[in-house]
Amino acid sequence: MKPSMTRVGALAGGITLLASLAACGGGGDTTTPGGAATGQGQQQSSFVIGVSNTLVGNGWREEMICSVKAESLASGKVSKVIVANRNGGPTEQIADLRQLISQGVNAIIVNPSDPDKLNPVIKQAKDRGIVVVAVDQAVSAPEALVVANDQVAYGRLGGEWLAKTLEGKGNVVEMRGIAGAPADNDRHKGFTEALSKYPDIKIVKEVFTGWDYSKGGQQALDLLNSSTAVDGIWTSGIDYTVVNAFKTLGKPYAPVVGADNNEFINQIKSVDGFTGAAVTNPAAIGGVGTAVALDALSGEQVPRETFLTPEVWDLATSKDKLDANYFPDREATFSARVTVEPHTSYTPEQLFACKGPGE
Amino acid sequence: MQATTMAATGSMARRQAWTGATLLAFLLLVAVKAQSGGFDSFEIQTMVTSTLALGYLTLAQGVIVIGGGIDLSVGAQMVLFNCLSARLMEGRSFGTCLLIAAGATLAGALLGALTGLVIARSGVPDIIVTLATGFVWSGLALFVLPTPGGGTALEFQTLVLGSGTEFWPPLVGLAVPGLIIWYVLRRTSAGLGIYALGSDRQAAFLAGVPALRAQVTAYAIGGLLCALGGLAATAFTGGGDPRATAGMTATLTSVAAVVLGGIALTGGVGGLLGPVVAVWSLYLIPAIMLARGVDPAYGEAVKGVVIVLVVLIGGLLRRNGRKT
Repeated sequence: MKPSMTRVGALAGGITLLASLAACGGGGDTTTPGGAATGQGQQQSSFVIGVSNTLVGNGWREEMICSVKAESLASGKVSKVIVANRNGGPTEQIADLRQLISQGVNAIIVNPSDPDKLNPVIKQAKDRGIVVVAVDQAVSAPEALVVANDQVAYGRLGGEWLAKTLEGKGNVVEMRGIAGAPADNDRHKGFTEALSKYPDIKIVKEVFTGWDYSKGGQQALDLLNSSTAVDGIWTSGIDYTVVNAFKTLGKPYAPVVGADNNEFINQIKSVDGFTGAAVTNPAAIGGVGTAVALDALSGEQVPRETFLTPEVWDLATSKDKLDANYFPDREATFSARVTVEPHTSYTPEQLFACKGPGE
Repeated sequence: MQATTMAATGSMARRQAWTGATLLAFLLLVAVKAQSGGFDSFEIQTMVTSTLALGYLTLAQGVIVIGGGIDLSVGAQMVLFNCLSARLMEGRSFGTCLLIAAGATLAGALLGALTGLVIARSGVPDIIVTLATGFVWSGLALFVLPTPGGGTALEFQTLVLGSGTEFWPPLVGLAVPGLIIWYVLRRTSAGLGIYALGSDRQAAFLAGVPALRAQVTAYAIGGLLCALGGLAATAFTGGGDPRATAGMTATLTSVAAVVLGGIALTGGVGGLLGPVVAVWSLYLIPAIMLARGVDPAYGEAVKGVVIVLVVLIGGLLRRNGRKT
């Protein structure tokens, strides 16, 4: 009889453990979510914002989530931000979105893993009065608002700056991102479009960096060591390691176009004899999406699509922007355009703190 | 003779107790979920639909583990049938989609039977054969559908997932095959052979249990269920996704659910209700954490801790059981 008592005891112990694990997972946050998601007509500071992201451990994406929290806090209209953040594809994201819906959120900021597969769940959210904003990438569901960086313009503006800096002639290298990625295709389109107006500029080499900083730096070393004469380099954001390649080899700098990465901005500001331009691709897009969602929740008319036109920052024309958007204590790849006027209202410190309301 | 009967009764009682405990733990999780974020029909639908494919895979893994094997390719088979059905169903009518689904289920059973045959005839351990076939199915899936895409008929999605906030269709869709397989396992000689084989291979052989038939049957049932899992995935996302990592995660979760659900990895012991309830419990843990404002990334870690603890408790129980 005794051993079977032990068995029952062990089982009971196991169940209690399971239950307490589940229960204490909460960490003491007992505020009830916004209840029925009626959207409009709620009093201020009571909106609940849900975030869905399916790429974890990526600095840009983490900053995007922080910008949602910062904007929610700064707006004063949000009581809580719920983040569903895990690696996965549409299968995981549909389940996450449904969970956010049943949490009673008023708006969902989603960086979609697929342009079409989330459409049914987005419609279900809309049917319950939830505002859905797709940020960074578009979805085809007509019920969703889309807030994204204009990637064609990103390629075109950088290409134009490079062509003008080279006075319309020379050999340039195009260092792209990941083959097949929508943003890479769009940027390539804009870049080639810009250079087609300059017949004396030749694209002598086209490589894919995979948006990998060390790989891009190695490719730049190989290029500069080869017999090809390089007068300028356009990169799809893999920038500061390319500038380092010139330094490593002791070769004279050629103009480089990059993104608003913290270290690249530092190089534009401080490396002697180097000319470069940063084309912005702000991770603060999450904050812009939040601002748009809050506008929609407050009953304002908002356009279905908001495209941010990138800014081009070089030392000659926008020294003030470069000075304002370099953060010595942030990491090299930090997306340095931390605020997007007139949409966002938070301070850089609020973004760095990465705390939502009530955290 | 009496001793063996007693031992058998003891193991039976232990199994019942385990299933009861799994159910109780699940109900507790439901209660916590209901308290912290609601548990209405929409939430039940979310739970049942988003774990439907995994539920099928767990049943598949369960049958195979009961038969003394293990299948590391269940996830890859699901991905393969997801891609295959999504590619074939794109732009087709509801009727055609149903035909394709039936064909896929049959093909799954055949693939499974073939795997079982290879394992039984070659004598190579299950874990090696299914690891290898898993790579083959993942590769084939990429061949069928190189990038996410494909589609299916809306009526097919509604049939599998239910419309509005109905949660009965996916529940019935899981229960009906589950009950049929339960009947086969418990009431037919082929099914009892699977238990006998898993429990003691040597003894089963000496008792004249046709080992080949039992093994092939177990893997055929497994393959069929994996195909159903692939079809459920197609219905859930309305398309196909060839990512091999999704299959790998599903495989590991199916093993975890089988263990949590009271099936002994050594074979021969366990039922089918426990593992399915375990799948739902594994879904609820991160869901509760999300509802309580904890980063669900920790949910995975907590899941792991729960699995280790439960397996530890299971080991203790078995040791105490032997002492009796």
